[in-house]
Amino acid sequence: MRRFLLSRQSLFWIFGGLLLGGIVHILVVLSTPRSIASTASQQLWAAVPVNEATVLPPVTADAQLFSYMAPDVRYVLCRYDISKDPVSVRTPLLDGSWSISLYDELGSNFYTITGSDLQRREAELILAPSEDGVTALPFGNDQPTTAITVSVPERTGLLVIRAPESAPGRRAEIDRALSQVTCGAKSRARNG
Amino acid sequence: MSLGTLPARRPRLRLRHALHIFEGLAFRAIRRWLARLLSILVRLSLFLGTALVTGLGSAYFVMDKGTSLTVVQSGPWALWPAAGRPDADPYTRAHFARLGALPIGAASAHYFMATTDANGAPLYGDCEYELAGSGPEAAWWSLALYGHDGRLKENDFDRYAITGATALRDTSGRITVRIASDVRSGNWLPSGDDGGFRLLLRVYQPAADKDGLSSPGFGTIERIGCR
Repeated sequence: MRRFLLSRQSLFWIFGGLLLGGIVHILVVLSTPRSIASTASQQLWAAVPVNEATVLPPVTADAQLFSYMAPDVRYVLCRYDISKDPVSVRTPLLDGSWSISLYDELGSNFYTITGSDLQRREAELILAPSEDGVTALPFGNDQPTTAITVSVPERTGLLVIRAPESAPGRRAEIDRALSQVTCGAKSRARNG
Repeated sequence: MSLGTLPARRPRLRLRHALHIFEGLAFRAIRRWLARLLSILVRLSLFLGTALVTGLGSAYFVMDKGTSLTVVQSGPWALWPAAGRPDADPYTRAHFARLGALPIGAASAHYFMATTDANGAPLYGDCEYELAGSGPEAAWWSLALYGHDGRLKENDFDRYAITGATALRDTSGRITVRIASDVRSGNWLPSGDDGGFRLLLRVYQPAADKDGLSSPGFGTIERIGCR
């Protein structure tokens, strides 16, 4: 048996197996984000309405929409779709640790801005298709100077606002601020 | 036996002899064919086994634990510096896809995860642990405890995390965190049931060095004892 295993032919087959193993390794690693992320995003996206801000309840062991949610961070989600119109998101920023993050369908975070980056008490983000650029947006000069236009690579994605409880006893204040978050098509957001 | 019967038997004998020779040859051929088939099957299983074990095993290992190219290890804490970045390497992407987490890009947040204590033993809910340090330098941080499925571990106290804002410090600014299933004074995190768990230290806007890395601010995770 040992002679059989150490024969040139067997070693050739083992070497071939190692080569195929390399191919299997690459295929598994490359396909994992797409196969797993699509399942996770399907579950997550089914729970969040399109172009509408959803304030999630405080995270507990019984209330978690996705894995590894922070129990001391309040979340607002908006599943955006810019196929027809750009989407506008307005949010207060109570302190520098608040953040606004954009994710593609595979859960990759392609944009994040924090309260300390902006140094403002509120922010407006306008999500537009990357090919349109800022000048091609249909809403002209009434755009507030504070608005940040983000060119997003895909028509659909997920926006996540994270509001950490930066000091004990601020939950009520954070809840009030989060209730003011809006997310919607630009024309709809302008009308109210 | 009469002489007259002999010629009649000869062809039968010849036939039997021929059959015997043919059987021998056929048996030898079948045996040779079976040996060859068996050798092909053994080599094929060697080929496929090597491919599956090395391919799937190595893929699982690098997606779960990472390598020095994808993970920065600081004691028991593992940091994936490319987490959440659109140009992240495939291993980091696969790792976070498997976790089912939505990390913020490393420029704005660092996620340190620990699955073992100072001796490399997995963390269990029926053991008590202690972490000590000054905590991370950052705008905000939070230390939370999760089951291996990424869900917070249920406890009767609705206590799931310790943050930079809620952590109690001693006079030298040092933070000591106790992880145990029973109530402890000070910075206590309930470990829930007796199953395994992992710790996630979430650091927003960390004070990063020139390589973009930061320190978890907690050293080792010492096991105090087990029930």
